[in-house]
Amino acid sequence: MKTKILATLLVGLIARIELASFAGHPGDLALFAYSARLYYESGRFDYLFPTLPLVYYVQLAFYSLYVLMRDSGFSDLVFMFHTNYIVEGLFFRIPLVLSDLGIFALILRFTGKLRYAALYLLNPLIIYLTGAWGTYDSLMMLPLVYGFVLLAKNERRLASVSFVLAGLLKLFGFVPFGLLAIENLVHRKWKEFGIQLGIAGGLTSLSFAPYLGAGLQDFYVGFVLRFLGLSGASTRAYDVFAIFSGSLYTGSSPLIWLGVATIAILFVWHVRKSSSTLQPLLLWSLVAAVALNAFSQAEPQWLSWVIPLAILYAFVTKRTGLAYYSYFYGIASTFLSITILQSAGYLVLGTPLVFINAIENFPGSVAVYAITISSMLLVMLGYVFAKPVRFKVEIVALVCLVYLQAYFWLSIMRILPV
Amino acid sequence: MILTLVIPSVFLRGTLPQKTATEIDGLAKLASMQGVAVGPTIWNESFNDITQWTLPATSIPAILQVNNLLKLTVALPSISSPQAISIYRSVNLSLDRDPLITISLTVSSGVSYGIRFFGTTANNASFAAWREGSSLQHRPGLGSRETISVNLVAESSLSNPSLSLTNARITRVLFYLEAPSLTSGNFALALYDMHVNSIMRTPANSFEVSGNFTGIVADMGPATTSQGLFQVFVGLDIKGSPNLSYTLYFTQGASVVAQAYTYAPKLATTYELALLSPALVRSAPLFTGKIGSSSLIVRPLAGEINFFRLDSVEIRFLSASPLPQAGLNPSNYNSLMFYYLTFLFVVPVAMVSLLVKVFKDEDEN
Repeated sequence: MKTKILATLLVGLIARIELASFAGHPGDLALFAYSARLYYESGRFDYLFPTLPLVYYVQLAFYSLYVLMRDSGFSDLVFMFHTNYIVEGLFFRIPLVLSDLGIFALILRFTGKLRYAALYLLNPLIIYLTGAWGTYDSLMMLPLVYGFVLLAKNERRLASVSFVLAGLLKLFGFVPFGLLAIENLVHRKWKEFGIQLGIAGGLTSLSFAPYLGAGLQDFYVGFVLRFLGLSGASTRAYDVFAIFSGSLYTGSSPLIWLGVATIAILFVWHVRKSSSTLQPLLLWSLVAAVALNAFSQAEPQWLSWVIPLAILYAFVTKRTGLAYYSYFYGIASTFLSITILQSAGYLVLGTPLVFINAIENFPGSVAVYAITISSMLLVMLGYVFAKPVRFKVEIVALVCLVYLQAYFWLSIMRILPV
Repeated sequence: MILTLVIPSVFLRGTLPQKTATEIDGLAKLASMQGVAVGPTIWNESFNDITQWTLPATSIPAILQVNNLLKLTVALPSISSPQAISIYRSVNLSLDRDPLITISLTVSSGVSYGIRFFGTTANNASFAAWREGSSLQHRPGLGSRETISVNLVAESSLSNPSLSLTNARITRVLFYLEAPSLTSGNFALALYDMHVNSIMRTPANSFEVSGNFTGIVADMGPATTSQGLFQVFVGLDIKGSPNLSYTLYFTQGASVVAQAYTYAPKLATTYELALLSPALVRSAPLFTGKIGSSSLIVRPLAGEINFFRLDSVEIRFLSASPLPQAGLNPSNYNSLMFYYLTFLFVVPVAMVSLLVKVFKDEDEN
């Protein structure tokens, strides 16, 4: 067994390092490189760092190892049209790769089955985001998964801490935290509820403290409003509702609030009936991840959030089919993201470059993407709510059919102005 | 483990000798700021004198009519080479008056069209005030009415960056229709309106300005290099009509080097922290700043601005990547893609397939 675990780890690790050595998202890595270099070159803390502060702290910590190398005379190179140096890009990946390995270890320990852990570590979407793209979703998913593992051991307070940490890396972590708070209220655990809020308030204040010195106005507009979806900027959305309602650049759909309320109500209903907290919390966190991908900007990296949740839920409810489906979903999402949203050459060369026009550069491509992704998310909900079934190859055919139908009607026949 | 990472990050702060990420305070460089609005009409085409318009001799059958509107109808024969036809008229528009020309027209779908301006300098030297790559060239006909506004100083400057435009004039405006080979049939260009307004500029008191404006132009001093320009963050307070939406541009002379997203005022606050990036450039402002200056321009896309205050401008530079080396030419891209897809899909899927086969009996456990 140990050999198989080591072999799986090695394959996951090699795939990530190989990709990280030359690929990367030139936009995102430029943002990370700028903020880290500003700190280590001029000593200035970047109060306008584009993500939540905890991500910046983690990056600065690991980047210090790279600074040690540079200070000792190491000279780095830029590959092709990328915005960051090659080894610099590898150092940005260290916390992400460690997170992936951590999640692998947690799933393995929780389920006791290498197969489930491998379905996460070797999922192409996770490899793509960590190794090729260099984005930090797995950094959030590590405390998220750990939170559920702690909850399974009835370590509720530690689970809360873990969810808050996840939320301070990406706001999605606050979803299970919020549901857990609701559960405390439902069961009239006032003291627990108070402690939970205290933990969240304390950790959040601590995390944001350095930013407050830069002025409340930028903090309020740059963080609070932006992360609550109330920013004045019209950024692009990839969700199916935005595309078909013609509101491609108007931020989150108002339907998201309806979705949030519905999930909270259904969670309360479920938790009242259930003797366990873990299963309803996993289920409705998973549904929330699906809803966020359906109703809000639906950035392609958000699609990864459902993968560890689906694997954990598959194990808890004995739905092997769901775990396997999450793997296929990862492959298909990666394919769609690469071909439609970025162009195949983007992460590799650092500049958009289309290799196959027919699948990368066609009219209505974003609508085809949104429909196919929505269908896959719906199938996932089917696996979650219907009685446990095996993963069948027919599902692959079904998703392909949806893609081809969307392609035919929206790209070739142009039945809608999308 | 945590301490081994935290301690270096504290002690190594500011130790890298390179200066690849820099930031300058743009507000300290602010020379002046103006609220800008469309002024009075200084010239108007009435479309009642056909002799003002010239249709050069052409083999393409064409009819030019002027009767409160101008209509050019062409019958394109099916031939194996691209076809084009143009009409033009003389004008006399002084660039010193900061002219803004507005044109309302319809062009049949199936052909493309463009608008070109020509002028003379104070020394009577001719210049072309149009350039390839501009949004005014090779526009597809939509078959529906379009209104286009063009800042003639900006167009002249972009086409002739080193030319002195003092006392220069625009002397000709030309429209053309073009079609690719084997396009045949009847197509038309209809001009409904063509008029020129001057631009009114209201100087701001220090960092803020009030009034009714269709743009704000802040002169950020002598143009700095746009090499390595990474981002510009602008903190601003803005109030306007209920339908106000706007974008921002950072320009070097008349060239746009960075643009912001589209913003709309929020209910929560009038303050906005706008992000401008070279990657977001997708249009050009109607009003420009001084030719030799960097400018920050706010352009309403709908509605108008009643109040504007500039709170902060941070201009960020990230050192430019070196040019790609010859080691990887386009013929090697396919190999690189193959390598990429192997580690992204083939290796992980093969490993998972192997594991699933090996642990097949786990399903029954």
